[in-house]
Amino acid sequence: MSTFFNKTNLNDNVTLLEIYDKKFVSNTVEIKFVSPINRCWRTIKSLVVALLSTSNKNCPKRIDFEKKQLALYDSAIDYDFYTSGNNQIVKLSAKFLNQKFALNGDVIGEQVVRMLLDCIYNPDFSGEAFEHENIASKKQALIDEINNRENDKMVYAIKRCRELAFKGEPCEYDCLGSISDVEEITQKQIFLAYKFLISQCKVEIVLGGGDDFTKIKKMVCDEVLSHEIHGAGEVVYKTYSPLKNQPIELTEYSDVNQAKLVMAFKSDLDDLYAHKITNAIFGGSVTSKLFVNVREKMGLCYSCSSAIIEHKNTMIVICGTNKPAEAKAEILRQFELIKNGDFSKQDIDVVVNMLCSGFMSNYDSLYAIKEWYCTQYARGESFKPEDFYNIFSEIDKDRIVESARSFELDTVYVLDKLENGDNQNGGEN
Amino acid sequence: MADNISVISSDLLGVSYEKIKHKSGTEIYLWQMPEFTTVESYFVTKYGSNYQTFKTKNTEDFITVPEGIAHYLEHKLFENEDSDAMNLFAKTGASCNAFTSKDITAYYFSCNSRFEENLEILLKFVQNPYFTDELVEKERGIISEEINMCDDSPIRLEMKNLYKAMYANHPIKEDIAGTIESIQKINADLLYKCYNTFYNLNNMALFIAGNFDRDKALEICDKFLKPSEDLQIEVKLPNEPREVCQKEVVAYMPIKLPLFMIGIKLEPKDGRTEAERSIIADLAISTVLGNASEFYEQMQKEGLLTCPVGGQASSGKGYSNLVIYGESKDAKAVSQKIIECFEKAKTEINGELFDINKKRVYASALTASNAVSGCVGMMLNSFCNDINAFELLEIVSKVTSEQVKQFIQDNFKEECISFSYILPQEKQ
Repeated sequence: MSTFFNKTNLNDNVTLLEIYDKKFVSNTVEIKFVSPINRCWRTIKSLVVALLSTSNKNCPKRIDFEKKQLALYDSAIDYDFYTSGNNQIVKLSAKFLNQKFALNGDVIGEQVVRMLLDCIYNPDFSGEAFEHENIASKKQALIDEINNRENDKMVYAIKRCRELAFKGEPCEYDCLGSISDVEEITQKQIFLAYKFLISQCKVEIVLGGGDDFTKIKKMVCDEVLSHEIHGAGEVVYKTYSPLKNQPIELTEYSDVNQAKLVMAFKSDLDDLYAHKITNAIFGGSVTSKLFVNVREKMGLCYSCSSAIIEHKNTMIVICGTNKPAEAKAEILRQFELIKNGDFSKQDIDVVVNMLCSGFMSNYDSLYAIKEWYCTQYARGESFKPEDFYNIFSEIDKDRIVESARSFELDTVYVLDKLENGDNQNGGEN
Repeated sequence: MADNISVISSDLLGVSYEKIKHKSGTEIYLWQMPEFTTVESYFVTKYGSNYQTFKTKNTEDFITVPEGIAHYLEHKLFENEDSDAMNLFAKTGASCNAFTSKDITAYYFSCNSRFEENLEILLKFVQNPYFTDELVEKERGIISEEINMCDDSPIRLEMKNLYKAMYANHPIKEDIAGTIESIQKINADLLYKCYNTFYNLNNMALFIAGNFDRDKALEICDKFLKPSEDLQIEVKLPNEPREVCQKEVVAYMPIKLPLFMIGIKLEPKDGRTEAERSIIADLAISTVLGNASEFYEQMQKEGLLTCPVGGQASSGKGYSNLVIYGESKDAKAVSQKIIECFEKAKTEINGELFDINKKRVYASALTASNAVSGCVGMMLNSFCNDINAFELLEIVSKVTSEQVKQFIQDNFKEECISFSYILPQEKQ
C-alpha cells in the first residue's frame, strides 16, 4: 500500500499523526484537545469549539468567513466533540482540495489552514468576551442538537442505555449536556474553558491527504508549539466499566410504532481482538447468530445487531421489535450458545475474512484511513489494516469462547409502545 | 453480435470510464481505479416502487400489482433454492446489500479480494429467482418490522406526507416498502410476474468501479449474461395534474425539534434536461439559502436555524420535484421566509454567491470521482438520466445566474408548492 503513516511526539503534550497517500484529491488538518470528561465543563468546552469554528480575529463576520471557505473550492472549517473512554475530545478541523486542482492559481491549503489556526489561536475575543450574537446562535445550535437526538428513537434508546450502563462513571455524561446546562453558560465560563483548552489539554494534530504537506506541517507545528501547555494530565483511553451486581432493567414508554431494545454486556477480560471476533459471530455481521436467528428464522425484527464500545470493554445489542420480551430471550439464548462453543471453525473463518476485508477497505477513504490510525494511536498501537490477517489467525475457538464467557449482562433498556405501558414510565427493577 | 464500446473521459478531472452495450442487452459500465484497494459492483434493474401497472409485448393487457412489491422482491431474491447469496458473499469476505428506490432496484457488493468470484455470485443470484409461498410468507414479518421502523422516523413520515400532498395520482405518493396491508397481498406468483418482466437484461445495467481486471470481468459477463429477448416493457402511469393537490400537511410525533419540507412540483422532462435542471436547482438553493446567504445569516441571528437547509432535486418516470428541508423551533416561520426569499430571487440573484457556489459543485465532482462508491454513483446517475457522467461538469461551467432566475420564476408558483411539517405532540 502507498499510504504513509508516522507518529511523532512533538513534546510531552503534543502529538503529530501524519497519514499521506498521493491518490487522494483532498486533505484534512485536525487539531484535537483531549481532557477527562468533567460534568460541569463538558457542555462549555463543546460550546467553545462550536464558537471558534465560525470566525477569527482576521475574519470576524461569520458570513464573510463562509464565503471565503466556499471560494476556496468548498473548503470547510468544522468542529466536533465526542467522548472516548472517560475523555472528552473537542476538535477543530479543515478540509481542502489539493493545490493542483485550483482553477485560477488560487492558493488553497495554506489559506485554509491559516484560517483554522487563527480560529483557534487568534479568536474573535474582545477582552474576555466573544461577540454576543455568536454565542446565542451557537447555544441554540447545541439546544437543537439535544432536541434532535430525541427525534430519533433508536438514538435516544441507545443514549438511555449508555447512561444506565455507565452510571457513576465520567462517560455517563455525553458532551452535550441538558438544555439548562447550555442556557446557563456565561461569558466568563466560555473564556475560562477556552483558556483551559489551549493551555491545559493534550493536543493531537492529525495531517492527512494527497497534497504536499511540507509548508502546512511547518505552519501547524510552529503555531501549536508556540503556545505553552502545562498541567495536562496523562490521557488514558482504556478504562473498563465495572459490572453491576445485578443487571438493571428499565422500560420507558413513548408513542412509537415499534419498541427499541438496547442491551449492554460487560467484560473484564483484556482481549480486544478476540472480542471483535466474538462480536462479529454474535451480532456484528450478516451471518451473525442474531441476524440469522432473531431476524431471519424468527422474523422478530428487521434489524438486530451488536457492537463493541472499545474503551469501556462493553458490548451493546440493538434491536427494533414489537416483541421485545421474545427478542431479549432469543438474544440471551444465542449468546449462551456461543459461550457454550456452539459455533464452527467456518463461522470464525467467515467473520475473520469479513473483518479483514473491511479493514483493508479503509485504504480507499481519507476519512477511514485517518480514523484507523487515530484509533491505533488511542490503543497505543500502530498496526496496518493488513496486519490483522496474522493477528486474527492466532485467535482460536477457545479464546473466542473465553471472550464470550467474560461478558455478563449489565443493562437492558426498552423504549416500548405507549399501549403496552398504560402511559406508565420508569418500570425499573 | 459484437459489444458496442465507448470510452467517456474528463480532461478536467483526469479520469475516464467505459460504457459497453453487451450482446445480452445489458449496459456495462467499467471504471478502473488501479491505485485503490476495493472494487464495488452494482447490478441494477430499471424497476422501482413506482412501476405498479405494466405490460410487455408478450402479455395481453396491463396488470397492476400491490404497493411495495419491488422492495419485497429485492428481499426475496437473496434466497435461492440451494443457497443464500449473503452467505456466499460472506465466505469470500465481501460485503453485500441491495436497495429499492422509486425507479430502480440495485444489488451490490464491495470487496478487496476474490473479485471474479464475487462478480459470479452477483450475476448468478440476481438471475436465479426462487420464490415459494412459504418463503414469501416468512419474509412478511421482517418487512412489517421494517415498515414499523420507518414509521418511527420523522423524516420518512414527513417525506411520505409531502408526496401525498403534492401528487394526486402518481405512485410516487406511496411508500417504497408499501404498507402492512398491501404486502399481505404479495405471493410467489406475483413476484415471478414482476421478476420476469423487469429483470430482463435489456432493462438492466452492471456497474464496476475500483481495482479490477477489466478483461476477466468481461469474460465473466460473457459467461453469465446471456442474450435475452427485449420484452418492450410498458409502464402505465395515471395522469398527474401540474398543480399540487394539498397545500399543507401537518403530523405530530413524539419529537422535540419541529421539521419542515417544502416540495416544488416540476414538470417532468427528458433525462438531459432534468440533469441540467437539477444543477440549476442546486445552485438556486445554495445561492439563495446556503450558509453564506443573507437568508441563513438572518435565520441564525433570530435563532430559527442552526444549520443550513438542504435541498434535493429528484426525477423519474412521470415525475420531477425539488424538495427543500430543515429543522427549526419555528418550522412554519422559516418555510414562509424561504418562499419570500425565492420571490425576491425572481428578480435578483447574488452574483458573487452564484459564482463561488459553482466552485463548490466542481469540488464535489472532483471528490466524488476520487472514491470507488462515488464513481459507481456517477455512472449510475448517468444510466438513470441517459447522459454521460461528466456532462454535468460541462453544464455547471455554462450555467448562468439568468438561468437560475428563470428556473425560480418558472417553478416557484403557489399552486405547485406543498408544505409538510412534523411537530411535537405537545403542540397538537
